[in-house]
Amino acid sequence: MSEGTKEPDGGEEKVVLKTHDGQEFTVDMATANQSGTLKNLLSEVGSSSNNPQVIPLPSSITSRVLGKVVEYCQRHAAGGGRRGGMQALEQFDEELVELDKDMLLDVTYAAAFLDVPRLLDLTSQAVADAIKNMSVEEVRHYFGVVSDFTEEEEKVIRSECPWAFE
Amino acid sequence: MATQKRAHAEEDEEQGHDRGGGFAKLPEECVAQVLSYTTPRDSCRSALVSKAFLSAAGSDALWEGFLPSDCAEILSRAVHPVQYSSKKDLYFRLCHPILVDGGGKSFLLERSTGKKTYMISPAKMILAHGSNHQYWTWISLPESRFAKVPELLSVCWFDIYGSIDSRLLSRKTAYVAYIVFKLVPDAYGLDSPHQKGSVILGSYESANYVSLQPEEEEEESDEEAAEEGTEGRRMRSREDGWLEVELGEFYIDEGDEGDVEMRLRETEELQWKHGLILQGFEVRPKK
Repeated sequence: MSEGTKEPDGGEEKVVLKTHDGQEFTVDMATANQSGTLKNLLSEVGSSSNNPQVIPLPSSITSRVLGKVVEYCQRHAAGGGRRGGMQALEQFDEELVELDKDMLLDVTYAAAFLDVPRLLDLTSQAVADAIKNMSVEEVRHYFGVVSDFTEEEEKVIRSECPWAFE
Repeated sequence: MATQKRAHAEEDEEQGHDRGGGFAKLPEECVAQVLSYTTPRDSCRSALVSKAFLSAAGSDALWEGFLPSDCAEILSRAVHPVQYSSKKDLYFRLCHPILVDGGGKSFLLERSTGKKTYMISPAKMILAHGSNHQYWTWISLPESRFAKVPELLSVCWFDIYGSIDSRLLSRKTAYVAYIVFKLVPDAYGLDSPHQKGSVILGSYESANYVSLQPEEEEEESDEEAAEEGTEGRRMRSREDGWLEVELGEFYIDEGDEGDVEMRLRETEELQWKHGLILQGFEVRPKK
């Protein structure tokens, strides 16, 4: 719904977010201000409808990932006053984080990078729910992480809280 | 902070979408954020995942969140000041009992979840004939966390009562109340079928038959006990060397329910009883 470039309308301030894979997202200031990172940046450089600021994003924030973040920010910029109130907004939040693992991690990263605190809370909770009660090996597999400990170091960490591994 | 995030982003840039390189996708503060939504147990275990996780799993911000929100107030009630080097260190110090409220209670955190556990000292309980030296004697035991505990010499009217303010307990939590005790070798009379443990909280009340003596050999098997639902109220040995039996369960919602009232009594059959040493009543989160 929010993907692709929209023409700026009616002289409102706009900003263009450009992903590494070449997609441009034009959003209004209320949407951009949901992101602490963009808000800070734009308060310094400014942006206008005739000459919108173009902000390039790192490669890990693909157009698909940014689409999700923009969707969240647009919806929350509008607040609970639209489309069914707070209840609908909560349901929107719940459904937003029903994502496959890689997408969920990418959106978590994007929420942290762009500093969208409530979105970061939502995705962090979803990741936490996914890894709850997982074994160490399962958590490594989930995040695609390889252990960078020596055997000796692993032994020390284990011995500090053996009960957590039972 | 923003430059740090950029640096992470650039590392990512080099790796493209390969997730094999440690945890470049999520910076450490993100890992700590994710862990804050898990439990202390999950967080301790995740320290073994990688160095980035180890660092996140030890952060003050994370453990601050696992400590009770009224931690400072609890520490101010401690009989002996609690020294600690970090929030994680404090958390684990509080996983061992500390005396609070002038020695009238002991407090600890349930390690896996960080929920609050209290034990009420017999000195703050009401014992029928508790101050009559014919019936009860107050003794000091090295293995007791409280200065003095009562030993039952002989009574037939057996009634002990203790209470705790629900505001002191963790919210939205199911609790179990226990009597913690020991028996002298020649203890008798503490298994009357009319001996009842009860818990009252507001309009809620639970009452169960509670025996404080080991069961006879020919008693029902575990399976039979489970069928009858009495298994949970069996006597168990504790790690601290005392015994415990469940008095009842209750649920703390918002902590505005008033006092949790716990009682164990046998005032019907009135057989003679002897040989109970009382450590206290404990309330701890249900597993």
